[in-house]
Parts: sequence; structure tokens; C-alpha cells
Amino acid sequence: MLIEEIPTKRNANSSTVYFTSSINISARPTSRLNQQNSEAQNQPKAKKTKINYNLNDLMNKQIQSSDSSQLSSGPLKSSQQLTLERSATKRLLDLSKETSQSTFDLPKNFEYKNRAGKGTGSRQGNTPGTKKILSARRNLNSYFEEERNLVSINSILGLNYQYLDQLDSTDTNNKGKKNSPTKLSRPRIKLCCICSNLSSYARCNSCGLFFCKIQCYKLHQESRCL
Amino acid sequence: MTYLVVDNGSYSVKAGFAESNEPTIQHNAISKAKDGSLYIGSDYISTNNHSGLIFKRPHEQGHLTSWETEKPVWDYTFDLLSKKDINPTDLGLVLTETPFQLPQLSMNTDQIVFEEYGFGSYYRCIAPSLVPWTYAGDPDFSLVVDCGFSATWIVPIIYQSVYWKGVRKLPIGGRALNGLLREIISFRHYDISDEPVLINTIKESTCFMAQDFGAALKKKLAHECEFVLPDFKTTTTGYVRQSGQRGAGDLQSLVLTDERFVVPESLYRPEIIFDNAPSTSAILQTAPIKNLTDLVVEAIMTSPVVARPLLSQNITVVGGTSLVPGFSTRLEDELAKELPSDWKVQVVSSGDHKPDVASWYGGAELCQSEIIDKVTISKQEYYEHGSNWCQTQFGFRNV
Repeated sequence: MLIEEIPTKRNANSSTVYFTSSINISARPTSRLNQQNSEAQNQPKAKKTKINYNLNDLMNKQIQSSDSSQLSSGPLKSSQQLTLERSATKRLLDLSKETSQSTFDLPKNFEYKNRAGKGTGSRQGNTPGTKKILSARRNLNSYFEEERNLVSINSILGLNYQYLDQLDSTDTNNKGKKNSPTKLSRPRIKLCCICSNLSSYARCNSCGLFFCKIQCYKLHQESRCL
Repeated sequence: MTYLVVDNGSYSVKAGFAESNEPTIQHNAISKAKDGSLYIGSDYISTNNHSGLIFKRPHEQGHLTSWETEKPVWDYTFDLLSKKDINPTDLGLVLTETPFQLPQLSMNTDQIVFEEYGFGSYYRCIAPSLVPWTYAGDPDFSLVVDCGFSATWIVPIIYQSVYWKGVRKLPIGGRALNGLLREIISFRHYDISDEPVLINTIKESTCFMAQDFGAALKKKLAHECEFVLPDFKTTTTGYVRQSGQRGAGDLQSLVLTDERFVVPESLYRPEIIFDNAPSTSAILQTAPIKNLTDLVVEAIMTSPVVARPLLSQNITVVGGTSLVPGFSTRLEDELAKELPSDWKVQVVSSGDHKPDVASWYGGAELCQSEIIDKVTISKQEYYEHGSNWCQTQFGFRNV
């Protein structure tokens, strides 16, 4: 495993990291490296920098440096934000299910036969590496789980929630009005859950869905209300 | 060297040689019919009954996870490309992936490309980054809105390279729209929750983007249309009954009004998706949710100051979901309201090409220029440096 020196104070705020892989983390942009090398040549007897071999420290430092510039995802999220993200994701996953039976497994002997009638051996693989990849039946979450120590994982996962505003920001300006969500320029649209007309009523008491007229409310109570 | 361009979307794979006039489009899935028989790619279309098909897709939330599924689809597609067998060792491959794909999965892809197929040279990039190559005019600054099947990506591209800091994602794509349509129709009309092909057909043939949502909702009866459901004798896919056409007779049909524009509207008002769920949590009902416009504005504003007005007048819309009628005019309209009034907002169309194949044509153009030799890596280089090195060449820059 390649371990690099922790960036000195001067470099610590650089957020650009050239990504390589989980086992090959370069903590500094290459330009900085060059710069340091040239500096080192100029002053050959410069003070020795401290070397930190703790990978967790390295990782945290990087997460914090990107957090300070912009409130991104990471360990600093509030529990409220996490609940929001979880319920939004659940809803989207529900919608993206195409059928009630979500998927099926390919039979063990399934392979595509090309024109010559020759099997292409879709599962076999030429090398041990590809053999493993071709027969893997893992879902995305297990890959995320495996890579959660990766420095860039926060930016990958954070992208999924860019469309949700932070509920409470740690910004000092906002301290007074905590828990009041950031205002958007446009009003939320309220659509009746029965007929999709604009709804000017309050939500249903028990489940929180909108309705537009008494008939719809009654129908809603009989059918959709939990 | 001859190049093969593969735009590996999560709904369909677009593949073809760079010299050819058009790509071969195949459904990127293996489907299983009710009787248990399996179909690769778009093969299922030849069967007459699309009812009850189940799809197994290699992509999960846009990330390519299942090579077990992807490889037969590729093999099948490559077979359709030419009369004789293709020999990958003499070929270069230009392949697309989702932005910010998990590096582990990208490296799996690299391994399959070189160790399984053995392509001679290889370039991997994200699909929107190929789009500027289709422009005849000034391709230096452009903002690509890729509204695909699993998500909508907003990607600023400055001097042919992706400005990673400005990339934004709205996790609503064709797939979520299908889900919403399925929910609404199953509640109001018939239960079609096990008919993914039918839902997709209904969406493609009836949905449109309202230019003024409020006005359209008030006069929703004006947008009424009748979709005739398949009876598997006269029609296997279903169709929209045109005015004047003979009545549906004993065929079952759906009368659609507001569904037609409420479903695509969820790109601009995501609360449509989150509000009317059977079990929404209270926190979601009050949360501020950004829509497509907010994210495009954000992407522009994150970019360097000088580039901002240039990006706003070079917005290109690609991806299958942007085929919804009225998509680009609506986006232009919404953005003009949000951006400074002295900036020109222009949503340019992707030339003569349909938006769902624009990235493929971009890739084909890229292969004609000499730049391709500088960006590809060869098989020798791969075997010398390994797949980690591939990722440093092609992967995103962490922001």
C-alpha cells in the first residue's frame, strides 16, 4: 500500500485530488508535488516534514477540507437530513421498480450463441479476474459498502442528494432560524391525490395527502388513506 | 485503426463503427417472458405478447454492476453490426459510462474490455462529454443536459473537458417517470403494474411537456386523448386513437388527460413525485427540493465566471427522456426567468441527430479527428500498467 505524507499546512486546503484507487491514494495534486520538489532542491537542508501513517487521519483531513469549502455530504450531516435522504431514496427506488417481481436470476448454463452457433461462454472468462467479474451477482450497495473507505465515495454518494437542500446549515448566518428550510424561489405545487387538480385545502389529517374537494376527500378516505 | 463506438446507456446500448451512418440500437437488458423463455436485447419485440415481461438490466441506478447480463447483450449487438465476425484486436473502442461511476466498477469494465474482448485500443468517457463533437459551430463551451433513463445529468464542458465541479445530478429520469405513470394509471384505471413495456409505450406516445403548467391544468380536458390498450389480436402494443378514427369498439382504452403533462412536469416540480406517495414522511413534505432549473443554474454558477454566459447560450439537451415534446422550449423558458436578463439563454438542439443518439454521433466524430490517438490507451499499455492506471487516465477528478 502506498502511503503518502500528510499535506503540510500550506497544502491542506487544496481540495483537488487526482483520484487513483482505494489502494493508491495520492493525497496531493501533482502540481503541488512538483512545486515541493523544486523547493526541496533549492533548500536541500530544509526541515524534515512529519510523516503520518494513519490512513484514517488522512481520510478525515480530506473530507474536512472539502467540507469547509462547501457543505457537502459526509459525516457532518444532521439526523434530520439523513432521514430526509433516506425517505427520498426509498420513494425513488419504489418508483424505479419496473415490475412487482423486481428481477430474476439468469440460469447457470445461460449463454449467448452467436451466428455460428458457437457459445461465447458468457460466464467463463479468460482470466481469473474476468471470471470473477462475469460471475459476480452483487448489487450496487455491496460495492458501496466495500468502498466506503474510499476518499471519493462521499462525492459519489453526495451527488444523489444534490437536489435536496440542506435542512439545517451550520452556517453562522443561519443560526437564528434553525430548522427553517432554505426558501426556494418557487412555491410548492399542491395537487389533489385523486384527480390531480390544484388543491387549496389542507392535507388529510391522517396521512398528509392533498385533496381538492369534499368528494375527493371521501374517495380518498375510502381508498388511499392508510 | 477502425473504431467501434459504444454508448452504453442504462436503457439502450447504441453501438456502431465510427464510419457507419447510424448506430445499432438495442435494448440493454435480458428479458424473461411469462413462459420462461429469455430474450437478449430488443429480441423480445419479435414476440407478439409483451405482457408480463420482466427485465434484467446490467445497470443499477446508472452504475454498471452486472457483467453477467451485459456481456450477452454486447455479444448479441456486436453480431448485428457486420456480416462477418468482428475481430476486436484490430479495433479501437470508445465506450461511455455514467458520470462519477464507482471506480471499482469502471475498473471491472476496463478488465472486461481488454482481458475478455481484447480490444486493440480503448477510450472511456462519460456520454455527455462526447456531445460537443457533434456541433458544427463553436464547441468550446457547452452545457449538456443528459436526461436519460436512470437520472438527469447536467454537465458543463469547457474546452472539450468536463468541468467536474459543476456536474449536477437530478435522480429523476425516464425510469422514475414510468413509475409515476404506472402509479397514477393503476390507481385511476387498470392495474398495469406488471406491464413495463406498455407503460413505456403509453409514456412515449402520449406524454408531453406543458409550456404553462398552470394553464394546462385548468384546461386539462382540452388535452384529453384516448389510448387503446393492446388486445393482442389487432394491436400488440396499443396506440393513441386519432380524432376521426373509428371508435375502439370492444377494445379497452384509457382516457388520459392531466396524466399526460403532470408526469413529465415532475422534472420541474419534484414534489409531484414525493407528495402523493402512499407513505410519505412528514419531513419530505416540507423539504425544499431543487428542480431541473435550479440545478442547471447551480451548474452554471459553479463554473468559472467568464464561462457562465457562454454556457447559458450553449445548452444542449440529449438523452431519451428529452424526446418528450416541448422539452427544450420549456427548459429555455424556465432558464430565461432564472438567469440574469442580459445573458442570452439558448437551448441548442443536437444538430440533425435525435437527442437519444447524439452522444454516439459525437463519439463517431471524435474518432474522425486526430485527437483520438492521443486519448486512447493501447492494450500493451494496459498490460503494463493495469486497471488502476486506466482509472487515473479516464476517471473523474475528485471535487
